[in-house]
Amino acid sequence: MEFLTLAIGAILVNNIVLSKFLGLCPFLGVSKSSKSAIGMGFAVIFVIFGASLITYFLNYYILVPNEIEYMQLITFILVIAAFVQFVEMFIKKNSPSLYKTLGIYLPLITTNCVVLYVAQDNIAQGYDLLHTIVNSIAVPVGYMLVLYLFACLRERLDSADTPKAWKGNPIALVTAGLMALAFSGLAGIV
Amino acid sequence: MWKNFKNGFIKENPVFGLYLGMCSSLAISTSLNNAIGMGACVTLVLLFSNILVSLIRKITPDEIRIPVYIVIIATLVTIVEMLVHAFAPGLYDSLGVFLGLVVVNCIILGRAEAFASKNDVLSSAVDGIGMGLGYTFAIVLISVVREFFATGAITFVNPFNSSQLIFKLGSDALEPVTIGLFSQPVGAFLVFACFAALFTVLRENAKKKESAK
Amino acid sequence: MKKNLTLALFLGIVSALAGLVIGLFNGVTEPIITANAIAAEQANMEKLFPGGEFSLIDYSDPDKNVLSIYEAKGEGYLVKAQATGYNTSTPIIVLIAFDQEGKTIGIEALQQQETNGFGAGCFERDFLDSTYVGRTSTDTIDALSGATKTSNAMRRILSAAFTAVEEVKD
Repeated sequence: MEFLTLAIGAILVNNIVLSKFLGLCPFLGVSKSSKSAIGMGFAVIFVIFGASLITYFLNYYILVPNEIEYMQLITFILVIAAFVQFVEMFIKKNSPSLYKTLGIYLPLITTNCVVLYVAQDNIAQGYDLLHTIVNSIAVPVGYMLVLYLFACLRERLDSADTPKAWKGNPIALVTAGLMALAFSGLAGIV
Repeated sequence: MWKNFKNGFIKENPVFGLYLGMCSSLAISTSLNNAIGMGACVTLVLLFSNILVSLIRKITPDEIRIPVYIVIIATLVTIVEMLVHAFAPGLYDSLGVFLGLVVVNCIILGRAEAFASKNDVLSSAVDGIGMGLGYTFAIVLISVVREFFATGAITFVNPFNSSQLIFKLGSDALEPVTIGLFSQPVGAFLVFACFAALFTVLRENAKKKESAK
Repeated sequence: MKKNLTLALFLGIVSALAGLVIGLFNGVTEPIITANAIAAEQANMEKLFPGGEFSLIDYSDPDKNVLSIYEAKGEGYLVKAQATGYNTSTPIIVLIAFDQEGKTIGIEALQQQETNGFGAGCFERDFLDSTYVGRTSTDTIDALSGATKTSNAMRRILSAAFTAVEEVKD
């Protein structure tokens, strides 16, 4: 039950994009088609899950025992960058078809703040291993959900008659705002 | 060089023009204090990261330049975070996790890669300050609108001593008619969208003027 | 191979330098940060027991509502407790003062980000003083209408604090 609350909270209520504004750069960049939104979504789920687990063990078995928690930021970002690079090389070698679908999104993920945020948040909230696992799956699932919904909306927007100044990103942001408003209605459910 | 500096404000404003660093600009633009604090931190990091990247541009091996830039930026951000925590604890509390996330602010890595790695130290420094101020200018604009509509007044307190009020524009009489929506995420998106549209128009006009010449 | 080694070495040197610089700054700022935190905690406690002499009591709450508990020498107890209200990302943290019999005599909100106009109403001075002050563990505590989640969180905080004070009192 507790894990369910945590998961629903992370996916719907405290949605990473709509209530914390994280991961917006790729949100605007790749949400132009629903297909690339799905690809990006899976890449993000995979990277966040892997990176959070690695940083969890790094933090509790290396940084904390040596009392160098202040090195957290620099180690985490390096681990994330290295992990992304590694995954990219691995996929490229072993599954060219998967590389075609996910490959182009991977380099974008290093600078996706969601990855760093989830890794740091797991530590800041004092989650144990199980909570860390649940949280690092739920947050990117919420990200993917919003990314996909948003991409579908944008596909329709393209054919709409938008005033010239609002074409492109500005009208997309208005849409995102309305989505945030809709999602804030879910706040009471957990 | 002056032109580089000026570009950061309207024509190539990193936030409204290039849509970089949006995460932090939406999240912490709830009050003028946060906006100025965040702007100052980003400008500082941007200035020093541009200088350092430019200094070592000739000895950095090309294959690992990105990790090297990330290490430099993460170091600077950690230092700024520590200084803010020590000397402006109020600001540290209200910026929270977003201070650390300056590391992944695309503006900083973007300028290191696109500008500082190819130019000399002085123009990189100027570019850093220009872009940093452009970012600050953008979030200050958003925060002024949001804070005014959400609370009825724009307040600014001394970041190093949170009990010292510097100025307060507006009046408490406006409090009953404030719109709480503006402090919510939806307010952030809508205000941002309005400014983005406005800047699109400004840029278009500037372009027209240039081509008319 | 030799090329890879040079690359690794370069990155290693940069990281080592970075670590060194961060370590240096940490040495300078850490004492200030700790001193600030103690001063802030002290200032909050002074609001409830002006000029009090505080000592930390060892207590651990299995539900993790009570964060810390202090004895104010000769005056009573201070409990710092938290619970999650409507805003699930920022818990409510309050500091509650008790007299020696275990009755609440004062309350300060240290952190809350509940919704303005609803849950945040629980933290207005008048509401805080009229609802949560002068209560004992047997009293029922009123809720603020329209703010059920926040009120429930405050009840959980109060009941955890009463339990804690009962326990350390004897």
